[in-house]
Amino acid sequence: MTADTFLTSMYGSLGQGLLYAPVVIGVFMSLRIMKKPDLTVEGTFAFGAVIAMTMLHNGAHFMAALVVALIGGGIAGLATALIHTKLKIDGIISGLLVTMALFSVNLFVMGRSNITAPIDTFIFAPVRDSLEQTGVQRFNALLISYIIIGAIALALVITFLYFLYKTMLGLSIRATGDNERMACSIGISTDARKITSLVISNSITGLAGALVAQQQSGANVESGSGVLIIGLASLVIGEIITPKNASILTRLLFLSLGSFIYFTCISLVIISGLLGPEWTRLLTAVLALVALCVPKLKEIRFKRREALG
Amino acid sequence: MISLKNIAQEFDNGIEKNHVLKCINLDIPEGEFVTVIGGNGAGKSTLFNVINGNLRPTSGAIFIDGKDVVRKSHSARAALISRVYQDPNFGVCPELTIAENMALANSRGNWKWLSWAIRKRDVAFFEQKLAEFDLGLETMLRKKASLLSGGQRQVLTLLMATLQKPKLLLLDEHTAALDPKIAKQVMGITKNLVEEQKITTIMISHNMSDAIAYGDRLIMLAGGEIVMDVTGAEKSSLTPAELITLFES
Repeated sequence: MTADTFLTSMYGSLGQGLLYAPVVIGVFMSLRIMKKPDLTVEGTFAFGAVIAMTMLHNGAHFMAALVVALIGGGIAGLATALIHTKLKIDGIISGLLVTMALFSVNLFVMGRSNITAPIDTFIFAPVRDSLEQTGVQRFNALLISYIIIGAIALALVITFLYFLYKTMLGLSIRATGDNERMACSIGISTDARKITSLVISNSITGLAGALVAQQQSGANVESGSGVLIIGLASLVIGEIITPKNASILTRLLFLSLGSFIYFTCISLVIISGLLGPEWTRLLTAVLALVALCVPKLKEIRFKRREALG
Repeated sequence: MISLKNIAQEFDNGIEKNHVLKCINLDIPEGEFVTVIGGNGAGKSTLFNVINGNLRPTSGAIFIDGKDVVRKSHSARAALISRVYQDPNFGVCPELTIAENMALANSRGNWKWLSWAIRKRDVAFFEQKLAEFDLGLETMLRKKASLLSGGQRQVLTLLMATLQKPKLLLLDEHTAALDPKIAKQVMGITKNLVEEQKITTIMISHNMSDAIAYGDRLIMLAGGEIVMDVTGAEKSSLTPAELITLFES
């Protein structure tokens, strides 16, 4: 591995980490704030990707594509939330049902099984072009444009959530996830809070799908596959490095760092030639497993020390 | 004034009807502190569930200040009625800070969803309220509620239940899970909070001496009916031993 390929892979991981970070935040919102896994993520991510790519393919502006992908994600989240709260179906099943249904919706939207659009219509193109004008190589300019756009999108998402969780609405959402019985007994309509949270987290995931599709220059019916575990792996990696008693803002920032670390680990293994790219998913699973085990190991060590006195 | 009129609650399991509450009539004047005793299955908890809207009674009406609330949902009644449970884990959100828990409680009945959850002047107000207990809680405002002991949680829950004066406070054996020393302390705090604000209160207790020592009026439930209802001297002259004899009859 030369220094150059190492640096390039670092840039690549940073860009990917930033673009995927909103997915991690979506997973965080459901798994950590609402304390319930939301399996709509993969369907929503693909839905966002497919919406954006189809719109770009048909000549729409990338901002319009992003907005519609965001709304599309929100609608998918609303569907899951309504099935869960109004029809009283288990949250996991609700998410699976919606993901299942979205597969067909995606095929219908695309009118085929995969779709691309000219790279110059993507949100990255203007940034890449202006970088090129300042003398940056075309390939590096593209890599840096992923980082810039990813950072902007992530900053917007984190800012929005930071303010949301500071309002009484946000606090009541956190209370609903933390102690539903208490939330209900002081007069919070917990169903409405669950719906709000799922709509927001899935909107964010839809947006991430739209951005990643443009980074990968296309979308297909499999676009969302594996995203949930990538999100989970990044989440638990991020939580290992998050300081104790961190505020929501700090937690969100460290989760984003977790996403970067995840992509760095994967790309280092691949470019070092230890394993081929076909092993990415196995690596992801192992990484997630290891990260999930670390807090348990800490606990065991702590207990042993206590037992020894 | 709280009035229960002909409240009946039956559970039908398809084979037989179980009359858990049979025609309960009860008037509680503003500011009265009522203690309720009764054996297992007497209907105490069902009565609370009917009052706070967890259960819709089979028949009857519940008037709070002259308005029938029987058709109001549990969350709509939350603006009027606070309930403290036996389990200290029910009343607080463990992952939220003490200040955040109090901010939620302080909004009961007056939600401003899009304003900041905690403002500077709220923090000062919460600190002052917590300092009154002399438990050192006021220095822990920014700590997670999960760090509190069971007794501290119950005190916080009590404070949260009364931060916005409720029309009715329901105490559901709220000291039963605490050790005797802490339980006594929490009962003292309860008494002060209730008397200070003159909150209309119903307290279920399994502790006979508590039921006699605290409150203005004592009610005994058995088989879904009120079998004893005493106030004043008649109540304070009761002894735990007498109560237990009545209990078993």
